[in-house]
Amino acid sequence: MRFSGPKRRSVAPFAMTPMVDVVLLLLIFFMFTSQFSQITRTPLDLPEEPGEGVEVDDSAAIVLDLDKDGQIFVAAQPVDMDRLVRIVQVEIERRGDVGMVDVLIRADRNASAKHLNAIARRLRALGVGSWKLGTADPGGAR
Amino acid sequence: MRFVKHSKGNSELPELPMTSLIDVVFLLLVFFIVTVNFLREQELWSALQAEQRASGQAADLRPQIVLVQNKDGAPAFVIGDRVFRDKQSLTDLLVLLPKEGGVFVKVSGDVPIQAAAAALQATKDAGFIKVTYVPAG
Repeated sequence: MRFSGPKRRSVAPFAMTPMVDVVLLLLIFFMFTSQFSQITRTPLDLPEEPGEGVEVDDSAAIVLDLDKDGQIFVAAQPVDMDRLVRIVQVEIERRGDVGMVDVLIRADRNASAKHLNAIARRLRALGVGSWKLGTADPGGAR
Repeated sequence: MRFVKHSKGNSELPELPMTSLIDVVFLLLVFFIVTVNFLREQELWSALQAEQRASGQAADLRPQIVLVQNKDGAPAFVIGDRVFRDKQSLTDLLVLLPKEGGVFVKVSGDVPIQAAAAALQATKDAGFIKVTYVPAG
């Protein structure tokens, strides 16, 4: 009886150059896509509070940014109060129940509370019963 | 019977060019450093005041009321006739109060949002579940 020995498999040479090309392309792709996802957030000095231990959920239905001058932004676009009301109304219609509307307000800590109060009054008038205030955890550096 | 001797380590492995690999690793490192959020964003939940509550049985469960207003040029937290300048003092008092009726945080328009957030945080830290934001002014 004759057994054939194990065939020696030749390992293909590992071409680094195309791999580096692909990796760089992937890198550029992810850099751009992450920029697009971050662009909806206005850079703000959020109130420095630890919050409720629940990290901000970016999937909140409506995320309002309120800068220190009282300008409201939705998806990085400046909006006035009437436009904001319309956005909230559309969201209420889309959800079919005002109780399902989730509002997160990211407000600059140095902004006057009168701007926040104005938003709160409008939300209340629209029937929105609760909202969340974004904070920056002072000990939350990763 | 004849066996072919199988020797380990006979296969030739290609050399990995370390320079390119390090380049890629450093690029990935820079990418993650740039894109990472250094501050963890949290959130404070608050209800908004609805219509005035009916009197009667609800009177037994009256909410505590924390006023956030400007006093002598600086934000202050007021409960009844007691005035607090810092969040910790406010929290220490709120801890002692009954929680069943919840708490109203009434925020004046002339304070910074940081003060409103501090008051909301104090109520949460004190163990209140029902926290209602009431815009004032």
